[in-house]
Amino acid sequence: MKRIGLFKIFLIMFIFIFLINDSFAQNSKVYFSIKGRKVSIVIGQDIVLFGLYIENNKDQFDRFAWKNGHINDIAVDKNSNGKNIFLACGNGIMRSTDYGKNWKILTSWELTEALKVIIDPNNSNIIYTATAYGIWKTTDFGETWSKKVNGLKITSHTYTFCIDIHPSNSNKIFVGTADGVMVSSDGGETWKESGLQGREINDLKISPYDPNIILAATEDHGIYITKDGGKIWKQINMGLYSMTMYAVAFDPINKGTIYCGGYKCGFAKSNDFGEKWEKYDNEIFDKDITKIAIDPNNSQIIYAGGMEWGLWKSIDGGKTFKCIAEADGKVSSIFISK
Amino acid sequence: MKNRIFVLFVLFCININFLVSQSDYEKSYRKRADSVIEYYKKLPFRVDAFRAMVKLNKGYDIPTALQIIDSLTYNPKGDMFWFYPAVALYCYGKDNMPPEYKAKMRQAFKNYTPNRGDTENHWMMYYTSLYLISQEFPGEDGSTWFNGKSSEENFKDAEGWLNFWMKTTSTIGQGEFDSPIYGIWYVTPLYLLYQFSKDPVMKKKAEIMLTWVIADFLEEYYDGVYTGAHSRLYPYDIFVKRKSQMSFLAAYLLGDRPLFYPDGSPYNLQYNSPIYALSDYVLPEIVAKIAKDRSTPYEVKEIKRSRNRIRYYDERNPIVAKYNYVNPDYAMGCVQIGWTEEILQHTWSLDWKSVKKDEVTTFFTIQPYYFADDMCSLFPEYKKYIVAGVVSSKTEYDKETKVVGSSPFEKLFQYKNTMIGLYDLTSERVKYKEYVGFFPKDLLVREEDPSGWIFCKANSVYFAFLPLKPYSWAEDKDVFRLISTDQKNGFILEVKGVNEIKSFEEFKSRIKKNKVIKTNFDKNMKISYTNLDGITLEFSYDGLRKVNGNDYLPLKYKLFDNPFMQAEVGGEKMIIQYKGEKLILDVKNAQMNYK
Repeated sequence: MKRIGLFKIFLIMFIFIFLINDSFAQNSKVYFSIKGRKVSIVIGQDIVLFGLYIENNKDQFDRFAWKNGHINDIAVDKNSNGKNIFLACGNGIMRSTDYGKNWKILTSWELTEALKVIIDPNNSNIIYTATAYGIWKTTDFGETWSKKVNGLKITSHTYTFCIDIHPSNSNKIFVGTADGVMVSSDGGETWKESGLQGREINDLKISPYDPNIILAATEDHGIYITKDGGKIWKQINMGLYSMTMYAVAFDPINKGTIYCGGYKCGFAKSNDFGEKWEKYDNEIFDKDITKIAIDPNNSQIIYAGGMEWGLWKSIDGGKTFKCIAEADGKVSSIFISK
Repeated sequence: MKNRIFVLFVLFCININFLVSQSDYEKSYRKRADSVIEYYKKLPFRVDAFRAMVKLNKGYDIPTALQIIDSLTYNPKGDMFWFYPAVALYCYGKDNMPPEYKAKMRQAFKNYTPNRGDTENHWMMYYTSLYLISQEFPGEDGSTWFNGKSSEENFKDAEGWLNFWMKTTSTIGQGEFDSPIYGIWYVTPLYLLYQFSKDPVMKKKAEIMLTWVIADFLEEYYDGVYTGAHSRLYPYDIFVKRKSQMSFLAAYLLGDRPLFYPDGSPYNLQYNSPIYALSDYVLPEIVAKIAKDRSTPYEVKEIKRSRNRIRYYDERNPIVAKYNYVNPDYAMGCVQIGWTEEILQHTWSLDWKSVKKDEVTTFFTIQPYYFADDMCSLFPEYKKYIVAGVVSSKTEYDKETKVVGSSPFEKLFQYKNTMIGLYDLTSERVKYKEYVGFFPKDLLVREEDPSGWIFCKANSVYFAFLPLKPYSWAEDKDVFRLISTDQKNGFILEVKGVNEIKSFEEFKSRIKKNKVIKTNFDKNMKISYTNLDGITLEFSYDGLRKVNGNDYLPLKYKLFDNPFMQAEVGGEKMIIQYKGEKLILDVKNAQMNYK
């Protein structure tokens, strides 16, 4: 009888913990990569503790054995429940189809310095990578790749640092380059200029609720927004502490709320599409923030990654942050799957 | 029975023929190779793939070799610097390797992931290793390899890059060209590729490219030194030139300097030399003859290319035009136009003969310069952090006291024994508004003449340096630094070998009579100089180059143009000639023909 009583209490406690644990309740999973440490490491030296990290429990991460020190971006196939993972790396594009246990480099010597990888939201077989040498595309889940640089000038446009796909029109793709934004309306076959020429684009995101709204983070010129699909761009820097910005993000739930991070200026938030930025006096206010990711199920949960500061998490919409992983690591990408 | 006798007779004839036909050159080459093998064979345990490789190959001290394999395969590190020695060890040593050690090494090629790197020498090591090791284990699926690709996929990938590199190098030149350090990481993989490629076409192409790269080196070899401009060089190797990796390679290939001290310890021994010593490759004698003949002066004109530029440039690999003047008493060379990179390029130098050990026998200038945009054009990193990132491994890059690195604000024009350097340092990109000349302390004479010329005398050379603007001196361990801080600046340098002029006094008195015209220099940055041979050089910062009134166009250089080597840009072919001999390296058709 006593045993049954204890068992019941344990069961109730377990269910209670299970329910209040947001990661279980909401089923989102955080992925991030580390490609540097405070102590500099050059090619040929041991690169311990670089690589891909996948959340196994709330704020607990497993490091996956792949020792490639040059992971620049992560994309997880949303239809695979975390099974299919793609990485953009110095060695090319890598894929795991077993939750990160085994990996294959899909690309040849011709595709190198892959900086971003993105899966078509409407067709998981179509994947793009933005590289230091231009855009590459696969239509067969990564088995074969072709270069898509028609209309991209060498080298200013072929240096592609960020990419995003229109959420409902997969043929429309925006790319941030060393010389402004380029757009393709035919699935990457041809490219043309779409504003901000003369600006180096560090990050670019299309709004999830209005694809005509696009944010761009630039080197030395702050944040820009377009509300007409890339025709007119407006600089939105009021309240920012740096003009070199590395990361932008849309709040997945609250329309009008956007976020940014940059060079020695921490994290900023705006509730009016950047008309005015609010900067919290928090733990990361003067840090270099290069990556931002918002939990798609709860936008109070925000992740920020920095240059040699590790992965930080806020559970109050960015007011406060705490470091949850790899405190001296250079976070090169953060991905949250639903 | 008759058949057996016939076979024995044929074998006997082959052996006799081999003994007879082996030239003195080849015999002495093999002797050096044997000395390297003997040395490595007997070395004690250390985690060094090459000593294990030799021991296994020669069936000597196998237990130590196996211990080394144990260590090399336990928690490997070093990326491509682990990969190529491990592959060399496997290929050279497998015949005497117990099955469990073969399996151990095979397992390492599955479990350890070498990064392919970010520069051409990294890729050379990586893809050669990948080519050879995937060739060793054909038909195996991706689960048995570190990168998930099958043997055939890896082989095809590596073959693709190797062919790409060979074609690029033989059409528009090398990116990491003429490096006394990095050259080794082209030579060594090519040795391996030649030795172990089972595809006869790849084997022949490896032999051709190996000869190509070595010939490119030895045409500019002078008294133990890789002379002229270099794509990449470390500060140490500037002042101790005869100890560079390529100089050690020359000692091995040419036998012009001893590999070992009399007590048997290594002297000029290149650490990859066991790979060369076990190889069947013998440098064609014609190349060795060229390396050793410095009887008459000659010009070397070459086209090279920049390292890959990924942003801020209109071309991926902008052209580099390079020049060297090799004289019986000295060699002086420079990059006339362009630059391959800003970090380690050694843009010009004058080198002369040494008479004693550790003598500094070089003179050069640099404009100490660094700029984040330049680094961003090479590496995909954030601009604000990139200089710190570079400095973490190339510590001198952003220092005013640096001794190596190119500056786009330094323009040079050399014609034979005369060089003019011009500097426009007014740009905001130039943090250190100065150029610096490095005068070795062990010059026999360094005197400042009231005429403005600085006259210097060394064992085999006299040179006169005319700073165009005021300067000051600073003293370092090995050198006196001339520092000139005027923002519109420059110099004239003229050199004569001691055998070309009667005396140092005559050299000085005649130099002082030479005509220098620099009217309105601060406005037009233009200068004219008539040298001891009566040749007038006109040069302006914005690109005018004239010799005796005729346009001089380095961008029209051939891929190789000197008395010994000829190659056209885009040609994939080099003609090497020496006296009546000729060797044609035909990369495109994978043929190597003597005529």
